[in-house]
Amino acid sequence: CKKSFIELVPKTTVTEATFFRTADDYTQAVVGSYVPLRSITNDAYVMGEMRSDNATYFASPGLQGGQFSDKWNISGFLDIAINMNGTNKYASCYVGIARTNAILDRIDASTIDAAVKANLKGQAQFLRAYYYFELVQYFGGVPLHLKEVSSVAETALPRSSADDVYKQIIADATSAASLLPAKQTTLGMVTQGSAKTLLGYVYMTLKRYPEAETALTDVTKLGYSLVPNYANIFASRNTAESIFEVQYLEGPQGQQGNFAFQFAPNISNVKNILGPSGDNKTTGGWNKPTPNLIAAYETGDTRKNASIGFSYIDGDGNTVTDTYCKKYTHGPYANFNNTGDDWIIYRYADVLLLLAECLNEQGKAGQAIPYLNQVRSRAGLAATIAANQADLRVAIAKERRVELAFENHRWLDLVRTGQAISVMTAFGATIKTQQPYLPANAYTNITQNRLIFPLPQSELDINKQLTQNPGY
Amino acid sequence: NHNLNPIAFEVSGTVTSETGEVLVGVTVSEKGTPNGVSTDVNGKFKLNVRDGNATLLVRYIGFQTKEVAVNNSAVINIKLANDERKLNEVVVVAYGSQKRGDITGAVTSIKADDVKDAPVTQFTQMIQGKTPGVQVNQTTGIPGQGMSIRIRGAVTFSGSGSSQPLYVVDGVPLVSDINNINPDEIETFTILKDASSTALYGSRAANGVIIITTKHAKAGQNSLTFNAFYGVQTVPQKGRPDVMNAVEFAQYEQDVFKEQDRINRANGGTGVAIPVEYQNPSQYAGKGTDWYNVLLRNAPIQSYNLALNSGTEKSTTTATIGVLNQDGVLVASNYKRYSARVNSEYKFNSKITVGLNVAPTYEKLANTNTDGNIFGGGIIQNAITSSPISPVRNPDGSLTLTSQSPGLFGNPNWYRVATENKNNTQKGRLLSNGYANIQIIKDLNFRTSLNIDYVNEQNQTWSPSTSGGLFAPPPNQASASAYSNIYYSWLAENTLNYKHSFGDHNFDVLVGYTAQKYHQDFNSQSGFGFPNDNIPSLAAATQFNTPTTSIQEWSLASFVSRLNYNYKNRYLVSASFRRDGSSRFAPNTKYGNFPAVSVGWNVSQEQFMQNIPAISDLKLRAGYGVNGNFNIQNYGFIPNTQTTNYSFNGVLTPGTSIANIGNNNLSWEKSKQLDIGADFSLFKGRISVSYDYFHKTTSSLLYQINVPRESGFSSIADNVAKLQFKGHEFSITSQNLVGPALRWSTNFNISFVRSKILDLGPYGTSLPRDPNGANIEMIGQPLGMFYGYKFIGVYKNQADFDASAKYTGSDSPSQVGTVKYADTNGDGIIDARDKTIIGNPNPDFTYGMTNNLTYKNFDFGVTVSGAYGGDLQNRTLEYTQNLDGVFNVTKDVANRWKSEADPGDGVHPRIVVGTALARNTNSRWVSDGSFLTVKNVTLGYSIPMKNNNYIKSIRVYTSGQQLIVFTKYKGANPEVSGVEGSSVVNIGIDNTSYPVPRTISFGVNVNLK
Repeated sequence: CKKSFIELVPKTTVTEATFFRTADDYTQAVVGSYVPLRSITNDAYVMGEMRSDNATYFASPGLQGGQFSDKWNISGFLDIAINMNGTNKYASCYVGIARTNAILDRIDASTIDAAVKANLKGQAQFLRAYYYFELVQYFGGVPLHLKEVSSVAETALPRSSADDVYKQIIADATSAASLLPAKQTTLGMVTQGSAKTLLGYVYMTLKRYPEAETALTDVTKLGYSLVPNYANIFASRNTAESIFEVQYLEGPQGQQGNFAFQFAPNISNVKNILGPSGDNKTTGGWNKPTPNLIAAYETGDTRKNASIGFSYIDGDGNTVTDTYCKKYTHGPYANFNNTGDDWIIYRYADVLLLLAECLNEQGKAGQAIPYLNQVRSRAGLAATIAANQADLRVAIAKERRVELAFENHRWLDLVRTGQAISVMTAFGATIKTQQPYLPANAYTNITQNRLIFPLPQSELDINKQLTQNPGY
Repeated sequence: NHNLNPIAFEVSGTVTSETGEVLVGVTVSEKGTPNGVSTDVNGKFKLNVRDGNATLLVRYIGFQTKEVAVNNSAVINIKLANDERKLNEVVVVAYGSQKRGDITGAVTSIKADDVKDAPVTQFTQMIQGKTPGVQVNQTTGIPGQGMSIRIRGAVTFSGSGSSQPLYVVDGVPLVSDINNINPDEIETFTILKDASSTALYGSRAANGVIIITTKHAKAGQNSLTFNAFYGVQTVPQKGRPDVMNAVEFAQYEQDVFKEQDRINRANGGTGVAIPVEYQNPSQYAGKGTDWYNVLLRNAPIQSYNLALNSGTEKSTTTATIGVLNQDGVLVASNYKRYSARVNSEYKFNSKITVGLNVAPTYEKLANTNTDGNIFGGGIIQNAITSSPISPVRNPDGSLTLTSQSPGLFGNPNWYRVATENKNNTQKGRLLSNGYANIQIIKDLNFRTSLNIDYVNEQNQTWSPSTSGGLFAPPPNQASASAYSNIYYSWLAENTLNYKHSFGDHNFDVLVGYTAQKYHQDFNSQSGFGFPNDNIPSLAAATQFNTPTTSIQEWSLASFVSRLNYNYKNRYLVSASFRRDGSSRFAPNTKYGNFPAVSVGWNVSQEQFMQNIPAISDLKLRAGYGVNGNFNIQNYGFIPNTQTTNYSFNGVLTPGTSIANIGNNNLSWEKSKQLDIGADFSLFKGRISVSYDYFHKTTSSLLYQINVPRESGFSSIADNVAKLQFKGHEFSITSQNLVGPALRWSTNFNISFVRSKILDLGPYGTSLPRDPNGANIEMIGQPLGMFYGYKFIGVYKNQADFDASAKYTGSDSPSQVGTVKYADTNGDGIIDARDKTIIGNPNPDFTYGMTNNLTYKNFDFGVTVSGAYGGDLQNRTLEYTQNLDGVFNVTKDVANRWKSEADPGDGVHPRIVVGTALARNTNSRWVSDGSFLTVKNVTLGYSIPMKNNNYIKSIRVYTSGQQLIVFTKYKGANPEVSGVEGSSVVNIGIDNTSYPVPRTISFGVNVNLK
């Protein structure tokens, strides 16, 4: 026998050694780098909305276990370092980072067409920046992997400072903004607008307002516009308002989402809400609107009924009066727990409000107000009456809350604007009287330490160089 | 020199056994000369000897050598006695055979004839309790499945099946399972336990080796035998789930609703009405559904085998055909096997022998998802937790669609699920080998063989709209799937064997080269969107999920060599060496060397032992060797890419990403083992005893070790852990009575194995990290320890509650009447940090005993096997003692905490909607799993057939399998251990499995002339 007899390579998969040759290989690698977005977004509402005063959850008699308690715990500030939602975000971001690292390690030296190369590199840099931005906002400074990991020894790094992570995000997003086109031939791929919005967010978070203003103002020149009917933003895909949108596809290809089911009441049959018969007890009942959020909508706000359902018909045909998030419900669906509704991460109204906030923080209330009013006008509301910086700050924050309700901005907005502790403490006291099934100790531990989440305990167990965030 | 002696004396005669059976091929020689002949097919011999005073030396394998003085008799009929000492018995070993007396490793052999009457489908069931050091567990009663074998505690971390021994059938290391081998085709099993006896199988030998030799006719043998049995299988009452009947359940649920009512009112809400179904429990007296019983039936098992043996000096043929049909004791399950085997050998001349063995089998298994956890869809566990007030049938006799009761989760009618879901697997197999033995010169033999093991497995599943699962009561979308799994391995072997003796020096040298390649094509497809339930097949689906296609291959090229040497059969040395090159191993570790050496001393042949007549045999032996386990995934070290598609604007777009981190050092698991043993027999072989001590260190255990998720990956296949095993094995066989009428023999064996984890690699001190895992691997501890909370009762009253540590999590904080766990870290609160070791699933010892009696024409045998001291974790209790009110529960839940005044038995907590903590792994689920099972009792009667022209013998028998299980364990099967062949990370776990039936059978063995 020859030596080759015992040297076998896979026949039904491509090995790394033979991949990364052609433009098509690189394109497929970039496409693969978008995939973790689905997983991150699937339960992003837990840490982004249910942590905030916008949402809680339905009572869940008879159910327990991590898939439920992990969400309850995050909602009530009772989470510990063992939490699958935290782990999922952490792990999925790094899956995306590893995939973009593999591309960015190689693409400069590749011989593929320069224009294709620029576009692909820009997308990879944007995605890496986005994944790190998620990590740094939710976990603080994290290990900064910028090269492909190719051995066990390279798998573990110590935490970098949040500053260093932000530096890398800015570098990547800036480069991406320069490489990416304003419009992609393939709708849904990230663009220059996506990168500039990301940059705007990063600078706002760092309170570097002039740079934020530049980035966000640039976005307003890229041809985005507000969709006239608020509800249609979520009922259609990749609209003129959409800047960065996670893409889903209904059906058996494994590209589906299930937001409509997760947010529907956890009843034994959801056929009269969503179409297919199915017991939604273990799937649904999440992101339930709080009375506090509902009260935040002004009279006549068209966004209220587009975002919140106030009654539903249960499996037996009875009408039940209760509230649930219906922003992402566009049934009837063909199959249980399988929907194709996209999830918008950045959209133009968000940029307008962020720009308004940015201008106001720099004492340019006058310039800020028109941006705020553009958004109010679409919602059927009159121009704001706020005129000074302090009033306008409150008005913009309120506007962001209702405009972007259930879009996973509320918690980060509260943290960015320094409101998280005071708002959530007051909110917690009230909500427990309104929803008596919430645990008595919920919302009793709202401290500075709780503004970021714990690193997953499993990571600390394996990577001894890591240190836990204080308070966990 | 008799050529010089003109007065040759002719002797002739017949050689028979003590029972009168003609012996063919017996060597009859003139003592002190090379002059000798063999007996012919009628046992007759004719020999010219020097004169009438010569002495005949009569030798035959398995019989005591006899010297007969001629004394001028021309005709001498000789009877040979069975060799009870078995020293001359030939035992099949790795790449050859050896006389038992010359063996220096830890080797046990079992004759299939000794275990033939068990009414079972798999030979592994027959060897339960027969051999020390071999733990055979029947983990589930699914027809044709469920046997787990661990030799000397063999384990791996790397996954299902990989701690099973290597099976070698007629020299072919199998790649398929051994369940489809018809036990009636088997002549002997040889179990190689220590490294010195297995090392010739190199990188596949670390779990031990079982060599199966199939039946080959002998020259002069002409027989036709027919064996059949018919049995009835039943599920014993003991071990059935003790869940509430309809009356008890209605009362319990009434209490659940009363409790909810109380809580809602206390919170200022409106009350909760008690559903009408639960208002009057006594209405269900004598009614209701016992869901377990509904799924059970008494089921027949039948087996028919016809075997032809035909042999001449030139050629021999054995042909066996068999049919087996086993209905399962759970409705709609069934196993069938049709098997055939033809073993032929042809002697061209004195130098060349060729042979061909061909064994096609066809198996068909029907069994739906019976075993396991409710969330995995396990039908049994789901059924027993379903509402007993829900009927199976409507008043008109038709099956109900669902089994729903207020407050319980939506459920289908589990009888429908069991009977209407299909999961049918059919497997065709061809095991075949051809070989040639060529004598090159005297004492030097060349053997070449080509072997193939081919399997074509097809599976189809179907779930109609009337089926469903927990949370998914019908009607549901019908779904179907199908897979095709075709795999084969070919093996080519060439060996040279030189056996030579000069003087008192005996040599046996083997060198060889082998190459084996495995190939698998796996395709699967599933679909849905059926217009109706009329066509239960994928063919009628209108929508399909993405199909799976995979090709897997591995190859192994090896060099083998061995030297056996003995001086006067007294001092024995054996050394062997194998070098394996494997496609599974990474570039830096492509080849592995597996050396072994062993020595033996037949003390009883020494002069000084002749003065101790009580000791008839005494051998001391010791061996040391290195072997490996290559059960890791193919291509595991190669960084691969995977399909990771995304969609843009509603269009599926192909994506690709790197699937794993490469590992250029990935290698086999290494095992080093020392074995020290002694075999002795007393009183002319009436009592024989065997003892072995072993010490085994397994290092470089393959494990998907967790790596930091920051790498973008969750795990990498790596060689990390190190384990140590020590053990003692002891067996004794006693011929208690050897009278001509009454004979009684007893075999008893017992083994003690202790394991200890020495190292778990770079990533810590325990595995796995699943916070809800039931087992833990911890440095310094035995394998697979149970890990969880220590249950210490319930908070009996407010004072007890106030004085005790509590759980404060949001899901269900502790309150008076809920479960109380030990605060093992003393921090005043109960949380995951209080989890500790709560049980040890490893038995202190395992044992077995077999008694055989014959009295005249009657024979009687009893085999028992057992284990002592291992714990079991009954995870069924997670559901059957859940106090959320969403499942049916065990009867003792009625004695739960109800109030401070009525605190119940102190074990069962109060009804709480959401008793999350109670559902965590805790010591209440752990109990002693010691058992003693009467595996088999057989009573047979041989009908005298002296004057029949056609029938040589008939024996009828009745046999009981799995007759009685003595155990304190309350679950159905104390031999349950996770899933079949599971890795060590979930041993000792009872997740509810298919009950192992008791079988009473009647059989017949007919031997035709």
